[in-house]
Amino acid sequence: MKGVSAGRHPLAVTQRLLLVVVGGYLLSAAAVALGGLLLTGVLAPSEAVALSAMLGFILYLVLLLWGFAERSLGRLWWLLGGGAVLGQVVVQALAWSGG
Amino acid sequence: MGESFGRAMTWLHTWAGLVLGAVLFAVFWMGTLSVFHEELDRWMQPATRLPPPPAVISLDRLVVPLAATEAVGASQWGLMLPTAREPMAQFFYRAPDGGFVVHAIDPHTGALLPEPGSAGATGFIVPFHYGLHIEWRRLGYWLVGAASMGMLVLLVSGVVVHRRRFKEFFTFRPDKRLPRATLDLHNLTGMVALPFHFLITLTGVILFMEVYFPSAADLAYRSADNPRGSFFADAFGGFRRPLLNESGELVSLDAMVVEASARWSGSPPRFVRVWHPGDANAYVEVRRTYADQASLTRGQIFFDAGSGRILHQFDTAPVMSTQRFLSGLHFIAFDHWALRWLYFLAGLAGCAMIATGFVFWLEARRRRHAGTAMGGRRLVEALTVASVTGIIAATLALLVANRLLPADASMGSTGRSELEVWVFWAVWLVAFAHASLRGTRAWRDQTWAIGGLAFTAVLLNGLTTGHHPLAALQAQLWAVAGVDAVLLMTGAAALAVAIRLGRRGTPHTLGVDGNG
Amino acid sequence: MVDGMLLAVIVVCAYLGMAMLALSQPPHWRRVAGEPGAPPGCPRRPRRIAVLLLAASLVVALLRDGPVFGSVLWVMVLSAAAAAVAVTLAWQPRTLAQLVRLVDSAHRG
Repeated sequence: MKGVSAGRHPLAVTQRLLLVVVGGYLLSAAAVALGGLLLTGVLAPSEAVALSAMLGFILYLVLLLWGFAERSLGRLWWLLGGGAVLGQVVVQALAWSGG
Repeated sequence: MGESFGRAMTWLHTWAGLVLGAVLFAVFWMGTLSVFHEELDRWMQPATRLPPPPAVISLDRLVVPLAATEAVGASQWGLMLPTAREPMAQFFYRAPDGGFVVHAIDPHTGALLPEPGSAGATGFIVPFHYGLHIEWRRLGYWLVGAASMGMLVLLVSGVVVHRRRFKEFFTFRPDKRLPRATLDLHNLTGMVALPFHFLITLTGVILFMEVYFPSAADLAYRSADNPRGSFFADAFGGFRRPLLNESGELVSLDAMVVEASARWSGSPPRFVRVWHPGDANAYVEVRRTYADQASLTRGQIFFDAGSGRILHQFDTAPVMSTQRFLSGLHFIAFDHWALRWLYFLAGLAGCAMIATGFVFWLEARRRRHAGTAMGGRRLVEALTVASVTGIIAATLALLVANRLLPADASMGSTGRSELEVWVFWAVWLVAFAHASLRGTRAWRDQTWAIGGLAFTAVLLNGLTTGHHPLAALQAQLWAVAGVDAVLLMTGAAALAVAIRLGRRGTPHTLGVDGNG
Repeated sequence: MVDGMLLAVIVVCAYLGMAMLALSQPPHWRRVAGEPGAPPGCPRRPRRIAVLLLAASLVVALLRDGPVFGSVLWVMVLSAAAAAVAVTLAWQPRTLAQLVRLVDSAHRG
């Protein structure tokens, strides 16, 4: 795989789209939730959520741009796919334990 | 900058633009119109073309008697006060059966205005802008959100792709062949309005942050019974107290408004609501106007209805103030005519950037595949025509239908305001069908249609309401005169473009000379 | 009335400032001057004038509308001014000839 402009096989493009758009979102959402939780240590909860969510859009934008520029599909699988799954599992586990 | 990065960005810019262009154009077009949603409301709801509201309104005299007769047994009632742009007041209440009722009233007399029979821009164009009218599981919000992230990606990748063009800033060569002129226009509108486009898109998603990142509140408030509700109360303010089920009275609302206004250093209120009216635990919510501040922080003060004592005053915390400020920049609820027009123009520049991006894609493919049958390209072209000229024509058809449908028009259970909206959808669909049949010639046909519809709308407004542009100016109905003026300019511009499209080339090549 | 005049000053300064920036680019200079060559002291002199004009526009905007609305107004006016300059250069480049003379005389003076 040599980046999107080279790896134009439909299957590769589909994988990349899903990983970057969906995986990138799920990873960003997990980062926003965890970041918000961490920030409650120093900020009021509503302030922590707002700050984390606003930064989340920037994080997602960076992930989208990087994901389409990154040559290695394998690295996308590890970082975006793996990161999204791990992040969401942690978020769900924390939500359950706290509720 | 690495070459492969540049190539990746070019690929991304091309395909993301193609896939998202239709949604983005719709969102930009409707957003551009939303800048003047109040003015469009005046045009579409002639009963609300009132003289400017009185400077001081006595709620005790205007709304309290109204509530006593109209809102019997309501669990809450209140008034949205008039502004310079919205001359009518809006009286609302929650009926005993749970339904929410809104009546426009004349703030001079307190008389109820007739049902408008039109959703207006506030009821159709604004929700289209942020939700596409796809309500199922909030899918519309998510599509707009995804398209917005796509827009940000397109802007960044566009700067990379067209970076050499920054050296040719100010370059626009309308006399050149169409692909060249199209690309110039794409670059020019993209570059000059880049700060606006980036900020308007980013603030657009930030405005709905709790929709797009709901899990943040769930986690931060995980010990609360209702995490999202708790977040909302902390972030946006609010106050509740239960019914006491004993009868109570309501002291002067005017006195509360004076006190609230004094606490906001003289800013007037926009919104007053009585909760649990008639109960001993009744309380009054007063919110300040957005007209004199960029931020959307709603100063909220709650008064005890029986004593007029302040129960609670909400002040927005620093981070949320930032969020409300960014939202306010997007929302443009403030009064600033110069900025309102500049937003409108920058929005149109965004529409032009998206449309020219589309046209350039089509032209590039047309030249590359000259002579070969291209089913895919034809479909893309039909989609493009429908999503650019089609949606403009459909919007104008909505205005024409607004002036043509009789006041009591209905079909079965569908009322007048829904029929109007059906005309919009029907014309949009017809535009797509027409574009699939006519191919490239559809651009010119639909541009003619836009010109005709724009002039027809002005004509019909004059005939049906008597407020033709000169009469509107004389009556100081600036909103009506302004909408008519923009319609006339739209019509003139459409005719000029249609004539040029007809003159410049064979119908098959949209002005591309020769075989390309 | 005063508000309207100040707005006009903001817009005119922004337009002239953007026009000066355009003239600092040799192709546009040639098109406006109608002769081959480059602006004297190119591109520093027109750029310096441009910076002054754009700064004046910002200062008036801040005075008129305060820091928040003033800076937003300035950014939006800059965009509109840049587009207007591009349109002028496309259809009526000679209307900017006076500015060419101004840069020339400032150079000599």
